[in-house]
Amino acid sequence: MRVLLRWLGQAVLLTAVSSLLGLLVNAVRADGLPLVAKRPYEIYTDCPELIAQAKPMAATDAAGILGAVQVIDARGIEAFAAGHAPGAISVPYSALAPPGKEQIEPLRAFGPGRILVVGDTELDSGQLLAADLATAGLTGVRYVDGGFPAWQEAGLPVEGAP
Amino acid sequence: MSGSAPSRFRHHPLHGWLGLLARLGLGGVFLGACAYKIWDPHEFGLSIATYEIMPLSLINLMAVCLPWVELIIGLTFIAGLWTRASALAINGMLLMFIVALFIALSRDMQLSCGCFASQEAADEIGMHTVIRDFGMLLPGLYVMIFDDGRVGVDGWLRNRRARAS
Repeated sequence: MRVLLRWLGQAVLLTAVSSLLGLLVNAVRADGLPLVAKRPYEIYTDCPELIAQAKPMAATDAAGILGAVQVIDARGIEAFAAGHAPGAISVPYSALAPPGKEQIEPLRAFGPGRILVVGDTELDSGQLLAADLATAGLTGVRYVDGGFPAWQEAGLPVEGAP
Repeated sequence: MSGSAPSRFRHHPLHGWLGLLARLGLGGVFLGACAYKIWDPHEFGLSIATYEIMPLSLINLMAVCLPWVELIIGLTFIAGLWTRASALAINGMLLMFIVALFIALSRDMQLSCGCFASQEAADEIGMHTVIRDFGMLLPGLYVMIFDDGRVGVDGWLRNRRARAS
């Protein structure tokens, strides 16, 4: 036990001396960092290798995470009005106009891995919108494989249906 | 040689040389990892921020200090100076990296590791990254348990003290 404590003490001392050296070098170098960041790092920038990396999810698997995710409906407004996942937000997919900042920013608040996109199968709009959201910097975006038809087939809840 | 079989095994002279190999390999990895972080602390700060674990107020402090901890402890580890303490610190850092990777993976985050190069490098995290870090724990644990730095500065200092007395 005493030996472990001695190793721990030495490790702490090494860490402290190294950190002090880092602080000294940072203080004298021209491109040194302020010790407390003055503004947030811009982590939501396009990285080429990260573009369009939304992951598919089977509708049957989506049942288990419904309470923990925000569903985004990528279908058109009429299809959304005819029935959608409970609490879903409508963000109709458009190949010509990707979602704007005013649509993206509120979605960031849900946090990483909390966005599940449901689209329709003909356009594969769920996958395409999910890719747009991932490209815009939202992390861990998933989409329902097979879109809203698969959602209904899996017996998942629908609201707003006539 | 006297003592029980486990004790004889633990103090076998071969451990000194195997420990040196482990120290050269793992210490070399740490020296390689700290290079870009020291060269461009802002880029490393960005890597830390991307994990979304550290509060903003601590990111720069970590970006400034951690690379130098990796450098100095990597050097003492390779040299066999305070060998066990250096191994303890190296293993501690590896555990910290593993926890960060686990948190990011559990959030389904897609980002570059930032371990050896900036976020722009195509080194996306995954279970392979976690396994790699666990793999690096093995030489670290080996050194902590079996290598007392006999082939290194610790051994040289002990011999010098023994000759002096």
